[in-house]
Amino acid sequence: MSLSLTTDQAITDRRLLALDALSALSSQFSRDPDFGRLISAFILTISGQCAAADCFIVVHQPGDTGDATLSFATGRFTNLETARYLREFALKGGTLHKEQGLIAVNDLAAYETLTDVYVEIESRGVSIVAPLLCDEQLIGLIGIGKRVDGRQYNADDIALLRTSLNTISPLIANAYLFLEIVNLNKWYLQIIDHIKQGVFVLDASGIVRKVNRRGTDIMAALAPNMVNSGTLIGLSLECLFPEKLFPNWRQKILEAGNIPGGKILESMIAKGPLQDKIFNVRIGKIEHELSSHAETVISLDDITKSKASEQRLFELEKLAEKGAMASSISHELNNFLAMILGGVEITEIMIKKGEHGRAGNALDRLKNNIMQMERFTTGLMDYARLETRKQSTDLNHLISDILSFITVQKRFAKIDTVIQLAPDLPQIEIDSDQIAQLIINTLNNAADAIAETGRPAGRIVITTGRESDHILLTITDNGCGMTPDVKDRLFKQRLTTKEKGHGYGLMTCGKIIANHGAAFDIDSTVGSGTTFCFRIPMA
Amino acid sequence: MNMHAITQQKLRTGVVKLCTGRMLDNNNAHEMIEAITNAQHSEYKFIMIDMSILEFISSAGVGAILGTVGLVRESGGDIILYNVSITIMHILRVLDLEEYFTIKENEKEALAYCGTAETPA
Repeated sequence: MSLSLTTDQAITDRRLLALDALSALSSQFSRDPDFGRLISAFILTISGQCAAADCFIVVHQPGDTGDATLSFATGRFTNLETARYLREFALKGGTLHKEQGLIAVNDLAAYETLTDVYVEIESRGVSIVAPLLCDEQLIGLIGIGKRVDGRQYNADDIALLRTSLNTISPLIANAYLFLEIVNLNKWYLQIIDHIKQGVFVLDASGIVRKVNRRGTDIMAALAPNMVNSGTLIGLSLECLFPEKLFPNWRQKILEAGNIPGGKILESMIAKGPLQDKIFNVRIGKIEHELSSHAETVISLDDITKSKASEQRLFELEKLAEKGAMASSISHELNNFLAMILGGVEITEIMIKKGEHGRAGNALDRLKNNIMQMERFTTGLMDYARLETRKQSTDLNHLISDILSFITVQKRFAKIDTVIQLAPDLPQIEIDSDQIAQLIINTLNNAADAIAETGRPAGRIVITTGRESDHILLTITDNGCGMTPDVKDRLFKQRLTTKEKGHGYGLMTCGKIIANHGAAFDIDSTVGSGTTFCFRIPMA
Repeated sequence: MNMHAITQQKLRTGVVKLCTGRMLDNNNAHEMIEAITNAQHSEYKFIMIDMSILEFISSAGVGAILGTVGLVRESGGDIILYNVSITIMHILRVLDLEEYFTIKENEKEALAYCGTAETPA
């Protein structure tokens, strides 16, 4: 037995060796966070240092004193039954060791509560047990068997063991924490892998740092070469969204990235190899507490299918509208034909009876019916034959022309028509016939709305003005107003509230507004009146 | 060559040779345990470890041999270290393991030990 080498130099060598090994273990763990491997390596280190073939560690998560423990062993302590006793001992004796520190197993006989397990672990060769403490929290126990040379542990061995334990305890606690962070990170990554949007995280210099599974799938469908040539990580924004496949995306994303709170770019088109795809693109920033460099998160929501459904629904609605329109037209025409046929029959009877005066009256009603039918069919043709031929037009001049002939009509006789035209209104590119029809229809409706109130007189105000690159045209009346339901359906479908109306006038107006890319607002209160405001683009 | 690689070679019935790389530390201590355990399960009673190119052994590496040698001996065999350099020998000496481990000068002596150890007393 060579005991002569336990000199000061030898003790120093042992400590350096232990610290070197422990330091190497912790640095390796940061590269490869395998907790089981780390603890096993700790055991090997301790057993090597103490020249003890048998060693075990029971550890639990800091702050957790329950049964959620992990145990690791070498040599004879790998025996499963021994491991079970050691774990039981760790649970029973944990508090004691927190207070007493390192204890020789021989001394445990003095603690009655531990008698049973003491006998077991002593018989299985455990010589020393010591707590693993971190910030005065017990995180586990270590047990070491007899020295292989048969010699008792001396003061130097105990000092070395204390040094090693003081070093590994915080390493174990930190490893747990590190592992928790790694697991948390994996957890979050798994979550973002399961969402239906493609998510791309770019660092402050615009380089892709993270992509979820859906993001990779989207890119694989749109740009297979990009994905096949390797990972998307490390690509720049320019390479991720090449102009050819993603027209105008990069510029819009860069602009949106500067908007506080982020932005959603709606219906962005990507040119896929088989078909175009439509995405809602959300751009947001992630601010870091420890860094001034914010990351950018881009999420792509593929709305191609919902857009297609929307379009299909729109087409079906149009089709249904056409069907309803055809049915309605037939119905109206049948009504006119029935009235005309009835009128002809009555006229015929009157003539046969020689009642020429009454026959003349019947012919007048017949003529009225035919004229009404003519108005109806003219309205239909207006709607069907709306071809737009824009030309530079002075809107104020157009309004003055319209008012000069419309205000002399009987329906405007008791209406005070006020015009407030902006003097510096520029010429605009419009189809003057169509806009004239829009104005006339709106004025006629205003006059009818005033008539419906039953008041003897009314007022219509027409104004023009300019707002940015639009011309504003407003027509306000103090007529009967309209309900919100009527207001919402206006211009969108065939609608009339008039006894003799057919509804195609407003549909024609809707088409004229659409033909000019114009917009409109309606402010209406039942009983007080209505204001139509048209915003017509200047070019 | 991988400085942590551990290779295995059968020498004769019941005797296997494990060659360490230049290092035996926490990076490959588990591989050493695995190699020894596998050899034992493959009916090799004697496991000869050639340390001729071993330059560094950490306490984790020592622990790996230490943690298995008892079990090998219990089954009537042994682990024999040979071609051990002065540096490695110093470490074993510091840990008071020089006499606990069976250490031989070279492969011939190690093999001879296996033969002797096998001979019934």
